Amino acid sequence: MKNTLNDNELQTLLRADDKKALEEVYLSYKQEFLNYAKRYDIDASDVLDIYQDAIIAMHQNFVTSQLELQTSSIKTYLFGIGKNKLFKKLKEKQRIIRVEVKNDEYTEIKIERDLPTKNQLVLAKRLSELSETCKTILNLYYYRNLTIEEIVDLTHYKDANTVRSHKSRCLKHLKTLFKVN
Amino acid sequence: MTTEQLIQNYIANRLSEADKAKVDHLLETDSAFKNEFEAHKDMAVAFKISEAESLKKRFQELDKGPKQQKLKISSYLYLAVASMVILGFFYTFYSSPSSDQLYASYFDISPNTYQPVTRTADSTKNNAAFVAYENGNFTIAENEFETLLETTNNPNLLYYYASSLLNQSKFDLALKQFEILNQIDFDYTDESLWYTALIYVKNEDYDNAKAQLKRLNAKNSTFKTKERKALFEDL
Repeated sequence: MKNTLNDNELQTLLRADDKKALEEVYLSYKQEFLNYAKRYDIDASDVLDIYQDAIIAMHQNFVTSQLELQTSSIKTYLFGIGKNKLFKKLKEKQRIIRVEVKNDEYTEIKIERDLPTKNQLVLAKRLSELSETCKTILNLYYYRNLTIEEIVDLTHYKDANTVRSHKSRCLKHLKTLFKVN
Repeated sequence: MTTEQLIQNYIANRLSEADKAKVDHLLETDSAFKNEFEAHKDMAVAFKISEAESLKKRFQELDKGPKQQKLKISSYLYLAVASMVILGFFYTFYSSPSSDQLYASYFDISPNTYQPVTRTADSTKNNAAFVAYENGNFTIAENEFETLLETTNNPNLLYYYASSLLNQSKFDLALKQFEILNQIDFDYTDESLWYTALIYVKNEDYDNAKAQLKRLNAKNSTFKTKERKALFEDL
């Protein structure tokens, strides 16, 4: 990763599920977030956990919804999500209901997420039993939300029909794994 | 648009308001559509879970990475150097062995946790100071921080300025800066109080050292909990 990447370029890479770019973002803001969180009374190990969850939530929004930040930077967005998670942690520990610390320039960003169902959790486990090619094609379609045409452009499949039939075979295989287990 | 495309576009949040309303309506009225939608959503969520798990593992590996190990080794090195410097002082100035030994056994260089030195963009302004600090060139770091502090009141930079002084064993000068910092609440308040306590230990002013440690206790600080307890018992 070149040091010259600006925020917009990084966002483009995050939308394309570029893991190297994500690692760069992770390392760039980690210490700053840990310092930022010191103003709230939360154990350092919990803060690191929160930071990781925040960065995952942010990344998944970039990947699955092709998020484009218009008015804020990656950092402001990330810290906003992190702040929301810090408050959630404080609330869990019932230390406070709401606290606002002076000089806190970040606005909370809440990312709505339902608790996963039992089916979804089992499916997630079964994904690891698929072949790499099946996992990749299903990932591109269901996680990255690429259209069939976009998948053709990005992979070695010769046309849309091949992608469709391969995807459907993989899905069928996954369903079999799901039922067997 | 096929049903499948409609569902994917809905989940990817790229439908017009009218199409979104259409999907919402279908979800309420068409059970076959709802089943297909739920199956698609289950796949999307399953991938999110699985991706999140592997990312979490990756981050944990990154945290254990060579960078941290390097920091650990260099911390020991700093500790060794600091111990030697302190022992040198002991022989030169005939100060009390117990206070010097106590100081040396608890002192370690405050690591740079404020600003990564290899970053881009807006962070470059402070880079020279932190690069010098991380390389153990505390005289250069002192000068660089001094220059930065001419144009900013950032207490975090003042903290690293004070640390640069302390790491050169300029105890009195460092103490002055830490005492200024101890008046305010900032990111390194706990660290600042800890190093103030150590300087008081060095100066054999155990009452004041204890007072700093008590302040840290009163804050329920999680910084160096074990060391603070042990030092307090040693005093």
